[in-house]
Amino acid sequence: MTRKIGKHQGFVLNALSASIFLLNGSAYALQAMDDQDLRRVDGQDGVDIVTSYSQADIDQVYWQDQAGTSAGTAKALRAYANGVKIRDTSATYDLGTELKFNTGTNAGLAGVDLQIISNPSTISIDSFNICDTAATQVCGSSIGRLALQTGSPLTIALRTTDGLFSDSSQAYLNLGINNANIYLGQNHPTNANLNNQLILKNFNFSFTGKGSVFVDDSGGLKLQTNVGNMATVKASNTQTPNTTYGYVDFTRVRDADNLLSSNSTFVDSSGYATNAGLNLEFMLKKDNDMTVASPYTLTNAKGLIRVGANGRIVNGFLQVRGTDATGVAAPSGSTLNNVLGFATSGSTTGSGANATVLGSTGIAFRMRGEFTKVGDSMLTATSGNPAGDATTLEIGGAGLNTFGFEFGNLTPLISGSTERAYFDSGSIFVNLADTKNLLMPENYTMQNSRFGGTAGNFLTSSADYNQQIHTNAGSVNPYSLILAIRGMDFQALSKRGRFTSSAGVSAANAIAPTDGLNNKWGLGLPIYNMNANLATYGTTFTGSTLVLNNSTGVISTVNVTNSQRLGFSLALSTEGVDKSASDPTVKLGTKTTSIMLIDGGDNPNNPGQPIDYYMGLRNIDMLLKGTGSIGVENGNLNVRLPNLLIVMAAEVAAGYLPGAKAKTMGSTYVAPTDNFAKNTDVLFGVKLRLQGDMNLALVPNNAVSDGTKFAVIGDLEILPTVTGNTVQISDPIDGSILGLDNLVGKIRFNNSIGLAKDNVSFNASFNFNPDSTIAGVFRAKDVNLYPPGGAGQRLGEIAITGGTLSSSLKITPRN
Amino acid sequence: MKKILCCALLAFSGASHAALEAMDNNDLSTVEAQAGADLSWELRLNQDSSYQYNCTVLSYCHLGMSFNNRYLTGTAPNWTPSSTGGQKLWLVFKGLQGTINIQKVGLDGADLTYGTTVKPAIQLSYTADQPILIRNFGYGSLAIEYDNFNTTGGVEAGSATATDYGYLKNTTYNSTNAPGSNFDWGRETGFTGLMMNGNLAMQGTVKIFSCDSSHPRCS
Repeated sequence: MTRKIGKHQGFVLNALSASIFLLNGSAYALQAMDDQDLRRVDGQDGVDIVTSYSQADIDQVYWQDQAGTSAGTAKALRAYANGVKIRDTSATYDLGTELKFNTGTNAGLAGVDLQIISNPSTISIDSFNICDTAATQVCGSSIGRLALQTGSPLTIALRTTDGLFSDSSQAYLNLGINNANIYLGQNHPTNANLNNQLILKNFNFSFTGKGSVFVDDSGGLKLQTNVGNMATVKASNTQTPNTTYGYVDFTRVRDADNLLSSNSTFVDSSGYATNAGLNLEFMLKKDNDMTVASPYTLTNAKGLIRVGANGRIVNGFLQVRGTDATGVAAPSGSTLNNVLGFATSGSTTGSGANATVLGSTGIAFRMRGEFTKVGDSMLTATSGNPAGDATTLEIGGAGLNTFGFEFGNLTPLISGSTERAYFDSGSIFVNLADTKNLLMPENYTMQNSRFGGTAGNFLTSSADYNQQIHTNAGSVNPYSLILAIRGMDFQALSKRGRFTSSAGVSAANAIAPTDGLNNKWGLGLPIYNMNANLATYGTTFTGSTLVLNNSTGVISTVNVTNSQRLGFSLALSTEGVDKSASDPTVKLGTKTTSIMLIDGGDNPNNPGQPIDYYMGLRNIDMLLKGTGSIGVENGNLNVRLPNLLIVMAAEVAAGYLPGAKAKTMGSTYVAPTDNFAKNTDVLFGVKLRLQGDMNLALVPNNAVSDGTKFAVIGDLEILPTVTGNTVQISDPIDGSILGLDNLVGKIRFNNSIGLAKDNVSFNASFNFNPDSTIAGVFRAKDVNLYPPGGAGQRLGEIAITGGTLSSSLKITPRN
Repeated sequence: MKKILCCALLAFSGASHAALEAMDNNDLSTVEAQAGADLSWELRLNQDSSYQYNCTVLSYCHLGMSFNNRYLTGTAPNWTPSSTGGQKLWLVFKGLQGTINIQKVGLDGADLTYGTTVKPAIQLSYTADQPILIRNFGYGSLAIEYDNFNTTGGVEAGSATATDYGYLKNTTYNSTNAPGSNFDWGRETGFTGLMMNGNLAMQGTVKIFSCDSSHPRCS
């Protein structure tokens, strides 16, 4: 590329400028200098701004959003971050930021080369709350403290060939958020000097992409892998990367602790342990002393769960835009309209243009991407892998000395399809709100699913899709931060699962980097049309929390008073199978929400193709709705959800994936491509509806020394005041039902999913009626048999007065 | 495939005396080119790890079953059975306990061939050398109990006293009600008990499939 000589500007920034640039300093490693470096030294080309500072303090930072109210008037709400401090906590780097900006031309087009390198720092925020802008300002409680700690420099690089933004030319973007630790701290219930923390350890968002970056009139800011209209410009399964078809690579990041010989499955070319390019690793830490000079450390933090993603993603885009719901009608059935309905307070529901929950401003995101698998034409060789890095997803224990599970060979539901598996976040709306209720889209299947013998009695009613986000008396709402997801899809089945070990396991527990790469079994967890509303606000909690004694397995309760918590309300639904847009009674069977084991062995009757047997729970329609609080007392993640509603309809099924050919030699049977719309594979159907008080705790028992478990303990109390709690098993052919109806009682559970070197175990312990009370007796007050159509016949009832039922199921996959 | 494998095995065995070895699941799956899983499943009810009953409050380890419309009216001993309302009758299993340990069961997909019809099925395979362990499985006594309050139109009058509920009766044998059988003292009252211990060895496979009209045996 030839370059025009640009202007050179040098800046010496004072402390005020430093606060604008937030991050600072620069890395001075000895490196070979190339031509570009020399030009920079000579001051002949581009802009190079280096800032450095010793610390920064900011009183308040806020984001303002217009929200609708039940009174029909718009209200400005602000989310405040109070007491922002930037401190140097790195032994290697000083606080500072370097900005490099160059321009150049090629074939008559001007491009830019922008690089921002920000040195490690710890940014802490003393409190977070949401306030209005009234003359006498009303503020909500703080949700706690937050801190962002980076261990290695954060880098952003953008190189374009046609201006800064262009929808017709390819740009290069590199974003490296590596090894960031994010801490959410809440006050200890009784000791003001201590915090309990939820920690996101080694958060990585490390990607390199080629594609177009532009701003669209209606679509907002768009980053997309392909140049042109994404609806039509799509990389096929024979396409190779070029200036039209780009990609995004999530690349693995060396662990901040520089772990050598760590027995990790994942190491870089120098032998250091690495973490996933997109890495979310949740840990918990209790009783952290906030009075010390550097209170944010990972010492004594315990792992809860880790999820990650790696490799190349194609046909993807990321979109960020503003929203305006002024004057838009309320959602109707499954039609989105103003997404969340009209604002409410007390028993008043607002109306009019300025009463929508979303209000006149807000932010919306959408992200979509298709997964590559080994052999994909869009893959290119990398330094460590001549075949290129295909997409893999990971789940496992957080922290060191733990196991994990990697999902590879991601394919769509239809066997042998030329399409790729994909993820689509759907539309994600972020807003501040002043409301008591939020609406969810209705689920057609559950709204029309026969439930018991009474005509017109269905699994859900419209009232079930109205979510109440707080239980405060009176007509004053806590101001809340709302996140709404509409239409999230994850349509991917993994045909190759394998176990992995993290850094720090013993040599005996080590799983080699190449182990399991030829496994022939997999797991499918596709999700179709997931909708969710999440509302959060600051609150306090008085009541009991649960703790688990790891050595005895005994659960006990610990009472807390006015403990700082995150007020929390969640509604979440999934759709079992896709349906015709014009007629929702017609199932299409191309997309599904399911949990399936998959046999991906070689099919002798169809060379080169997998057998593709599946078995499991398929076509899961589900609605979860609950309002309560989340806290991190006792080193656990505690969730209290009084009046939690769980509704589910699903099919237990086994058969061939759609489009798969039978493996019996000579057989010409091919499973229909709409197999999931038919009931030929269904063994029986399950429907359940439970409404009760849930008090649960997630226990960080990830480490091998703690059993490598994802553990959840809790109490579920189904109260007799709520009728219609039922578990029903139905015949898939004629629709007759056996129902355990009118359930009441209390169950204490201690469940865990354990990962080991070569197996996964599902452990469950149900303690019926743990307090030995009359009300706690677990009863199915009516056991009914419902014939196909018509009223049910009562068989009798069942009562379990108490006792403990333990189940331990271990699954060892084999090839 | 098998022929090739056999030829290959023969070729290799020519050089040395190969011993005949039992094929494990891995070997078998290689032959069939099929992936699956081995499950082990232990279910334990009201027992500690040495299969001993661990309920401390006896009446809170019952399983009660009540059949539809079985009531008593009147007073003891002059009861009158009723199918419309009265004191509800319960069949109560007392001292329920047991452990069932399915040590190993293979889980695979399999084709079930019936005539020309091929139906995919779940195949569970058991081996006799890994029997199902049944330990102290059963109940201490079975009793017919009744509520001390009325149920009218399906609605229970209820009570604040636990022992008024048929399924929470806590009578045990003692020197008064069982003077001649002191070995029973402390045990819950009832008329029969059941205790099962053993190893259930099974060899073979079970195929489970959806019985719909596409299959000749189900239409």
